[in-house]
Amino acid sequence: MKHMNRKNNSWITNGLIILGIVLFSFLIECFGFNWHSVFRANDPQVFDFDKNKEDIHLDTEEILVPLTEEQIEEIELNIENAKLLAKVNGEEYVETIDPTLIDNDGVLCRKIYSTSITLDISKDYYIKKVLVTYPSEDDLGYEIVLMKDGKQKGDTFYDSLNYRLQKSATNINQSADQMIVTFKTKGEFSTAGLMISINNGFRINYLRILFLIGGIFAIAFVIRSKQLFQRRLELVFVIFSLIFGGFIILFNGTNQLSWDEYVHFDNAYRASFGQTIQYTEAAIQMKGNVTPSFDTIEEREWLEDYTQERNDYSVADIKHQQRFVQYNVRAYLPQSVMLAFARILGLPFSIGYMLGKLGNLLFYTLVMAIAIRLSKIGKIYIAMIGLLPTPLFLATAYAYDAVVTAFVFLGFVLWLNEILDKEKKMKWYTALAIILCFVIGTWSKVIYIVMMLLLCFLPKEKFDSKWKSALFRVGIVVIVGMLLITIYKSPIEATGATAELQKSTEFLGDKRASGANFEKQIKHIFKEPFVYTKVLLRSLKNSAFDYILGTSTWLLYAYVGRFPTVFAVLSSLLLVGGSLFQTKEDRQYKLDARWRILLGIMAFGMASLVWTGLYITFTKVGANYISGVQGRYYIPFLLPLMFVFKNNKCKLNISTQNFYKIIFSILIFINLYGTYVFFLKPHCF
Amino acid sequence: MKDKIILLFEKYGKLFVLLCIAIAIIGIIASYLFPNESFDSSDINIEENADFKIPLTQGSVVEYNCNTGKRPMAGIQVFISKEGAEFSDGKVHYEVYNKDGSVHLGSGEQLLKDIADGQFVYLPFKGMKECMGDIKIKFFYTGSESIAPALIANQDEIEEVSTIADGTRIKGNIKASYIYINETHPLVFDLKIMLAVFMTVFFTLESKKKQKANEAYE
Repeated sequence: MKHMNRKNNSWITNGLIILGIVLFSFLIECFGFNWHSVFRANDPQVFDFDKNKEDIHLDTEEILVPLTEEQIEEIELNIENAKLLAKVNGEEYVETIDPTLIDNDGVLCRKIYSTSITLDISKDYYIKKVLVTYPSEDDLGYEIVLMKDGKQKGDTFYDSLNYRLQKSATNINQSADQMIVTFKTKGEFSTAGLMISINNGFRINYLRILFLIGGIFAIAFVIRSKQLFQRRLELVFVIFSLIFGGFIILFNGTNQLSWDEYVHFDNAYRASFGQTIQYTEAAIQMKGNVTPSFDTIEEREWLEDYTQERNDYSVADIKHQQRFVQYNVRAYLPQSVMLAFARILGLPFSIGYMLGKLGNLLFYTLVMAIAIRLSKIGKIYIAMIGLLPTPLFLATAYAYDAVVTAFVFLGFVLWLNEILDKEKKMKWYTALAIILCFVIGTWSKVIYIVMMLLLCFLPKEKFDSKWKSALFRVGIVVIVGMLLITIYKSPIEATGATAELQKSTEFLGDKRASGANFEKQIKHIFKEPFVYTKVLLRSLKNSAFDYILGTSTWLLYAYVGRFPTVFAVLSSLLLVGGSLFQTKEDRQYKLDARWRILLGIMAFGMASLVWTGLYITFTKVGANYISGVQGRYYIPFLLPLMFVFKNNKCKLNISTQNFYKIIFSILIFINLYGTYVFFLKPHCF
Repeated sequence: MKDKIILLFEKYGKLFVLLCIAIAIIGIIASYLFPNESFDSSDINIEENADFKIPLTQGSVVEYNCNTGKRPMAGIQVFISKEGAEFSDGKVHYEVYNKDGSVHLGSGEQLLKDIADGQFVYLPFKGMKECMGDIKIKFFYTGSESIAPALIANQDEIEEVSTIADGTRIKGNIKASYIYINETHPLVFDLKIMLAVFMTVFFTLESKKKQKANEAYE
């Protein structure tokens, strides 16, 4: 009876806390974020340039903007690819000239027009938003300068207007009595159809309220939870993975901000159909990476309408594909299933797009939770890595990385369990599960299959006999070899293609990289093995801190941005502290030194392979540097690396519950900062 | 529940693994015996470039000379204009010859009432001798309708390709795509991996004797 009463009281208390969180969040939204709208209310002001032509003062000038190194490289790369394409097609290359590009005393510049418009507001007006509507035929950029008593107030605001959307919104949140808007255009600017409005309207932002509720709930959860952190860490991981992952998906909407997201979306979209693919205009724009992006809540709503208007399947472009999903796109299936689900339910395009990402997150969360649940040691390592910003971000975007990471982790954990249970024979189903985790996990990023070679080091006592142990090892090497060959040449049987280009390795190499050639680079390595070894070791050394503990691997949201370097202190603290220090419960199992040495060698080998892989496919032939390596490529083998430092000497004399709570508090802080600063504020305010 | 599943795994493990090995082997054999066919369309000349029509009037012949490359061609895709007319028995015939026209490789026909006006029609070379290397395709029209259909051409000059209308080499060529057929084995790679995986797993199966001994020990 007492127990029942305690349980009821606990439900009531938790319910009241959640109600309190919701109410508190709502109040912050109304009187915090909308403070100026409540206490400095103003009617919107509209400047319609078709109606008030005589009052407008235009000041236009031509300016030359020097191109950045990246822009010049992109132009050179496009020319190189066009030449390559012409060679493949057996045609003569004809160079096209861009008239807006001008050589200004040896500096390549683009000619643009700068048109300034001065708007008199006539009174001190608190401007929350500036809305610009303009039927432009090209994307254009604009600057807003606020003036008060004839002097500039604050910094200049920069924004752009996408010609597809033909309108734009800019957050200002400052008062002014005059405003100068300067448009930067490729051609001469005309005010026909231009309308600029300013407002200070009260608006409830449901995304902001969700963030507040989720954030406060996460903190309350850590404070109030008693046993869950120690007993069911996988459940805690699921809760936080879904909260912070959900935030990123919600706030990012249809923006394509991850690495090559448009390519990955196309793969997921194609796999969501059978043999006949129906590309709507919205999907075509997404895969072409030309869908406008949003940076305010208004633009987000316009964009939702824009994509939905173009999501008509009755006028879809029809393409065909083979019946079976190719092995290298199967990692997209969790995303594809949700895309198909959204389509069947007839959900709007933007919702379907986000559901596709949710499919990735759900799958990642599930597999990682299983890995945490099954692991005998280092549960916190998996939870920690899984919740750090970059791995979590990759699980919320169109990408295969999350599937690779989750399966490789699960496979590794099962292998480690076998190592720890020295006496027990390995069961066939465990062996099958480990192999399948590595094989399925690395279909899309085959290089990591090398990690499966860890199975070759299982003690022979794990098998019935010596010859069975030997044949098992041979089998593992054969599987690894079969998959590795696909890097060099996709199996024709698997892809169903026999195109000349695929047969020919002459053109193999990443077309995004200038001067890359697979075969020539391999020849170069064999010709100059010592020179290459030097390049490799130098690259590994120079990147070691950043890629193992720094922002590049753990604190980078692709094109959205990178955390300030000071956060690397936190991530380092988590990873180093978490690996070195063990609570009493964590000290139950001991990992022998020989296994830790093996894991260290494996991690070093994997890092070398990643760098070599990109030297071969992404770097100019013969270069003394390696291009294209990113910190995220290290994620799958950094879990094993953490076990290298696991020891029972650095004892931590606090409860496991409290230790995990400290780690999760840091993770919550990092994720709340990241989701607010990089996603909510810049895209949904 | 968990124990029951594990018991089932242990009892039928060998059977399951052997069954999977057998499925993989049978699958690989079947896949090679009955390959899938997929169309591989190679666009030779489909861009718009001052397009014009070559009428296929009764008695006239349009010849198209081309090189199929190292693969036999399975058909050609051309634009056929019906000139807005309705056809009942009108047909476009096509005959395929070797380079100099001395060897007849086969022929086919397309009923015009079955296609839309201006359709990019696939004309298969099914049942013909191997159409590989330099070949000549002759197009002509038969039917009771007085209006003649036309083939759409453009001004593009293509290497190793020429179009001749009633014996005169025209400037430009018929707009066309070449169709090839690829034999594919979409699951063979997976089946090979499956075979390797289960063969490997096979060596982790405990012999019954040892299993019993272990059980007794445990």
